[in-house]
Amino acid sequence: MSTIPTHTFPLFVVPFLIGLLFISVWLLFLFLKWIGELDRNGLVKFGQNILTKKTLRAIGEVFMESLLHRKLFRKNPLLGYMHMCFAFGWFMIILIGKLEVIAYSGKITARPYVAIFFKHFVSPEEKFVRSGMYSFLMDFFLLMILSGLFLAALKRFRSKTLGMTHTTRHNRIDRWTLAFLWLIFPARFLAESIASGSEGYSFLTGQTGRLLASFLPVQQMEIPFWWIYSIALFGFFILLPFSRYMHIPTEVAYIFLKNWGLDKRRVNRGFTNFEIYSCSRCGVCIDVCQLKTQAGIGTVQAVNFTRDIRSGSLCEEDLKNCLMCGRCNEACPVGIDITLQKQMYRGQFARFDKNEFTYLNTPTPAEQSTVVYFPGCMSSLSPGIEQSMVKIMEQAGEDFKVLGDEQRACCGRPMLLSGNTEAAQKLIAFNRDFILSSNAKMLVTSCPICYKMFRENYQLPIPVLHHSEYLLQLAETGKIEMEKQQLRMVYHDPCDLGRGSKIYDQPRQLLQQAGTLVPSNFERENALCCGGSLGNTKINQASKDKITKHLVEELSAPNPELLATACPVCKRTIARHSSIKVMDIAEVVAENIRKKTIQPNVKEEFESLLK
Amino acid sequence: MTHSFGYSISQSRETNWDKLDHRFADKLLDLEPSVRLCVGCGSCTGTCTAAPRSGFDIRKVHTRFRRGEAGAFVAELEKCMFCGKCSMVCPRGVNIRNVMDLMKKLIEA
Repeated sequence: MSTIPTHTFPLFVVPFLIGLLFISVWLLFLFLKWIGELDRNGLVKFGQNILTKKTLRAIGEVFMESLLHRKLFRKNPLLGYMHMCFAFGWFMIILIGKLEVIAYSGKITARPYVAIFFKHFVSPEEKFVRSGMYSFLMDFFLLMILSGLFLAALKRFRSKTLGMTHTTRHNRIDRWTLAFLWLIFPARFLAESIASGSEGYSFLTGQTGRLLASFLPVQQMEIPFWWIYSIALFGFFILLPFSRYMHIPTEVAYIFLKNWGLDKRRVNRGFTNFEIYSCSRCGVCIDVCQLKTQAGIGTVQAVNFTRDIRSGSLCEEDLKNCLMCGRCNEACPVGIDITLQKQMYRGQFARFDKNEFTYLNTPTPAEQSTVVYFPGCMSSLSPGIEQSMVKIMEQAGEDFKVLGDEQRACCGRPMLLSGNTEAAQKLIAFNRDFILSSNAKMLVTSCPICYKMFRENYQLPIPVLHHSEYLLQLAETGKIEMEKQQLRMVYHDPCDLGRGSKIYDQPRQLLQQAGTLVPSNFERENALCCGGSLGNTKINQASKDKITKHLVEELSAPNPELLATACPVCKRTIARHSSIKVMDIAEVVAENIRKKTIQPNVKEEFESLLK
Repeated sequence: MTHSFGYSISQSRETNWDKLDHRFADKLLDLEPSVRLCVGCGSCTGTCTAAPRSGFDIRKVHTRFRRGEAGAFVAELEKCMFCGKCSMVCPRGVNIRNVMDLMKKLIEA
C-alpha cells in the first residue's frame, strides 16, 4: 500500500470534523455560561486559585478518578477496569496518536484528523522514528478498550457480574449515544486492520489484517470502514451533550472547580450545574439506597434526582422522600454531594421561610457556666441521655448548665434539611445569642443533628463537642473512670455524626473502656440509616419500619448483649424494633462509671475531725 | 403570669355546618392518608418544642382543619419549628411533619 500525503482531504473525515467542531463550540458555550452564573464569591475563588498548587492537585485527581477510576475499582475491580479501559485507553490513544503524527511528520501543527485516521495516511511499510513502538502502543490500548467494551456488553445483560444489583435504564438518547460509542472502537479496529492489509502494523491490527486479507477484497473495503468509524464519532459527539456521557467533560471541569475551593454550601447555580451534569448515571447509588433495597421506593435515588433536574421534571414528592443519610455521597464515584444538592433544591418547595417565630423574641438570659449542655429536642424524648450526662458531669466536677426545653429553640437543622433556609437562620440567630449569653467556654450536645448544625452553620466562637468527644476527653483527662464489664456491644454510627461529621473513633474508644465492641457488617462510612431520619418528610411508617427492621437484624447478627449508639433518634427508632437492649453512649458510660473513692488524706482529715 | 395548673376554660366554639369547608381537609386526606389514623391523643402537642412558649397546639390545629375551619389557622402554623418530635412520638405513625407542610401548602395555594 502506498502512503497518502497528510495534506490531502479525504471526504470521510467530514462527519468527524463536524462532530468535533460542534462539541467544542457547545461545551465552550455551556461552560462559559455556567461560569457566568457563579456568584461573586465563586468568581473570586476561581481567579485566586487558578494559578496555585490546587490546580496541580486537581490534575492529579483527574488522572486518578476520571482516567483510572480508583473509586470504582474499590467498589468492584471489574467495574473499575471496564471504566478505566474506556477512559484511560481512549485518552492514551488520543495522546499517543498525536505523538505518532508528530514523530512521523516532524511538525506539531498537523491537521486534527490525521491522528484519528493515521493508518489511512501512512502505510505499514513506512518506517519513522520509533514507528514500531507507536504501532504497538496504539494496538495495545485499542485492545484494552475492546476488552472494556466486552465487559460493558456483559454488564448490560448481566449487571450482577460486575457487582451491581440494580442499574439504570437508559432513555432513548442514551441508547443511541451508547450505540455510537460501542461502534467507534470495533469500527476503528476493523478499519485499521483492513488498512494494514497483508503487511500489518502490529500484533492486533496486523494479524487481523493478514487474516482478513487472506479471504476478503480488503482494498475496496478500507474507505467504507473509515466512513463507519467517522460517522460513529460524529454521532457520539453530536449526542454527547444531551446524554449521560456529558459527564466525561463536565466531571473534569467539576474536579477543577472543587479543588479551587468553590463553596457548594451557597446556593450557587453555576457550580450546581457542573455537579449535576457530572453525574454519569452509573447507578452505583441505587444499590446503597435503603429506600430502594428495603422499602422498594425506586424513584428517589441520586440518579433519578439528577436525571429529573436535567429533564426539568423534578417533583416535590420524590425530592422530599429522601433520608438524607449520605450513603450515596460516599458511594458516588464522582463525589457528588447529593444531600447538599437536594437540600438546596428543596428550597423551591419551602413553605416555612416566612415564619417569624415572634414568640422567640424575648430570650431569657442563660445562667453562667463553663460548659453548656444542649440536649436538643430529640434528647428530651429520651430523658435517660440527659440524666446520664448530668450524672457524669457532676461526678467529673464540671461547671455546667443544661439548656432546658423551655429556654432554647430547635437547632434549625430540620428546617434547613427541608429547604427552609431563612426559617433556619432565624432559629440559629436565637439559639446563638442564647448560648453565647451563658459566657460558656464549650458547647456540648448529645444530638448529632444539632452537632452538625452547630459546627457548620452557627459560626460559634467556642468549641462545639458531641458528647462522645466530650466524654472521651473526660475519660482521657482522668476526670471519670469506667469499669470494664464483660459486655458485648455493637455500635451503630448515626448518619449525621459518622458520614455527616466524620466522628467515628471517639464513640468506639469510649465504649471499649466499658466493654467489648464487636463489629457488624455495616460500620463507619458504610453504616446504615435507622430510618428515623429527620431529612425525610414524606416516608410513611411502613417503609420506615422496613428500614429499621433490616438495620436491627444486621446489628443483632453478631449476637451482642447491647446495641449502643450516639443519637437519640437512632436510639429510639432502633429500640422500637429490637429485642436487644439499646442504649446511648452517655447511658453506657453513666452505668459503668467508677464511684470516686475518697482520697486517703481526706479520709484521715475526716477521721481526725471526728476525734 | 397566673398559674392555671394546666387547666383553663375553653373558649366557646360555635360549630356551624353551613360555614364549614371540607375541601382542604379532603385534599389533605388524599395527600397524606396516614392522618386518618389520628386518634387525637395529643402526644404531638404534649411534646412540641414550640408549644411551651407559643401555645402552639397541633392537635387543635389539626382537629379544626379536619373539621373544615382551615383558613383560621394560617397564623398558627407559623409557629412550627419543624423539629419532628411530633412525628417521632405519634403512637399511630402519622407523618405529622408532612401534615404541617401540606396544610400550609393547601392554605396558601
